Amino acid sequence: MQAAAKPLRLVTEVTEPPGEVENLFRNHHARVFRTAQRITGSAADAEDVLQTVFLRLVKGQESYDLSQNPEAYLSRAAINASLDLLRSRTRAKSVNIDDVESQALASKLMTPEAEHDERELQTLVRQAVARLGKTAGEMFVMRYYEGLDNREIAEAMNTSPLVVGVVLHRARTKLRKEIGHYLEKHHEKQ
Amino acid sequence: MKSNNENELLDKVVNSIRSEEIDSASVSAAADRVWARISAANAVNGVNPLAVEHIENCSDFQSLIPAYLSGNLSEARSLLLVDHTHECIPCRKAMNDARKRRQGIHAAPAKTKRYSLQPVVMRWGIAAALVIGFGLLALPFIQNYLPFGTKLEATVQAAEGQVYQVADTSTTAVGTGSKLQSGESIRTARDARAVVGLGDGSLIEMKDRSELYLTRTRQGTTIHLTRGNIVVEAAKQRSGQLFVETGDSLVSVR
Repeated sequence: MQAAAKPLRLVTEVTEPPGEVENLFRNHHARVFRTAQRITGSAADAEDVLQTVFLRLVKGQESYDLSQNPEAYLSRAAINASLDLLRSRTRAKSVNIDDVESQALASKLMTPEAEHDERELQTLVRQAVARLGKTAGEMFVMRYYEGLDNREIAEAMNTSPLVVGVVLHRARTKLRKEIGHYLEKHHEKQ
Repeated sequence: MKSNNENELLDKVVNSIRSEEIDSASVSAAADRVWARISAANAVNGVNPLAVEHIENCSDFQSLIPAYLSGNLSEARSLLLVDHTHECIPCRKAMNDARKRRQGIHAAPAKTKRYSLQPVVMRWGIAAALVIGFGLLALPFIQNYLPFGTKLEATVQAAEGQVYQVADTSTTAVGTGSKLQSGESIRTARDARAVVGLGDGSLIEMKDRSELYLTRTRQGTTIHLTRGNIVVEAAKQRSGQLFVETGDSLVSVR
């Protein structure tokens, strides 16, 4: 009887007013989508990422504080969700570096145009970035896809610019090691 | 050297990824679909955290707006919400804002106009077409009944006794050789006579105490006899007819 007298909310975890989520979506969906598309290289995947990010918010699976820069939060959420998507896809396909080469060469045979060459290179880089560690991948995307500097990345990830610099340097070395010769091969063919 | 080259290539590819153009229309379309799916998924699963079990205040009402706009709100709650927005200005504003945002997300690329003509030009065009149409229809009537393009030739060939030309404000004596204009009356006094010759060779002999005036249209020349007696010797009409009109009759000669 007391419960009837005092109305209960079905879910109490969401502390923000409901309209806020819609506002967040309206104001930041474009950024989330663009970030996701840059990382995944696919509009369909970017749409999935956009849905994942905001569905987590709506369902209260993520704790967030709107007073602390929602744009930065959503940007990181988009980066992580996108990299997760690429990683899960890579795992599902069990792709190793030899397969990447054969795929690239096969697609090269199918699509010899220069535009497709560039797309293949982009795909190679995207997949390699997803294979970097979680932190390294996130930092790499922030630095090179989003254009943040080391200090901004350090602030966003609560670390020091020096650490960011070192991680990025290692990430680039790893990428060069993994796909450097494929990049050169493509370059020579062009 | 090789390392530098790889670095350059890597930077080149990364820059191309970073500068990749992403179409705003596809972003909007994707956003629209995603928001609809989020709303629908919440409504179907019944775990919508945005919904409230009991509606207590305006915030609760406003939380129902997205579901209402996407058509996922129950009929009863839709009625409650709509009713509330009729009497609550902030909620009505929130509803209108949400609707506008939704329309903004839904907005398709600008439709191409089917007609390039502006409405004003169209209206003027229609008006001009109507005027021309009426003009063409009325042209035969105008030609038949109005004295455009025709000239009356009438001369007093003989005048015996007192013959007058009657205008609106004055009356003047008419002698042999006087010209008659269209619509000008000529009158013969008591014991007077006159002969009026027309351009086609017809002759009108006026008895005394007679009055007439002449008009001409494309249909022909008309002698309007207002009083008295006349004798008309009609010549062969080359174009049109010669009419004689009295108060109670109209005769014509070809």
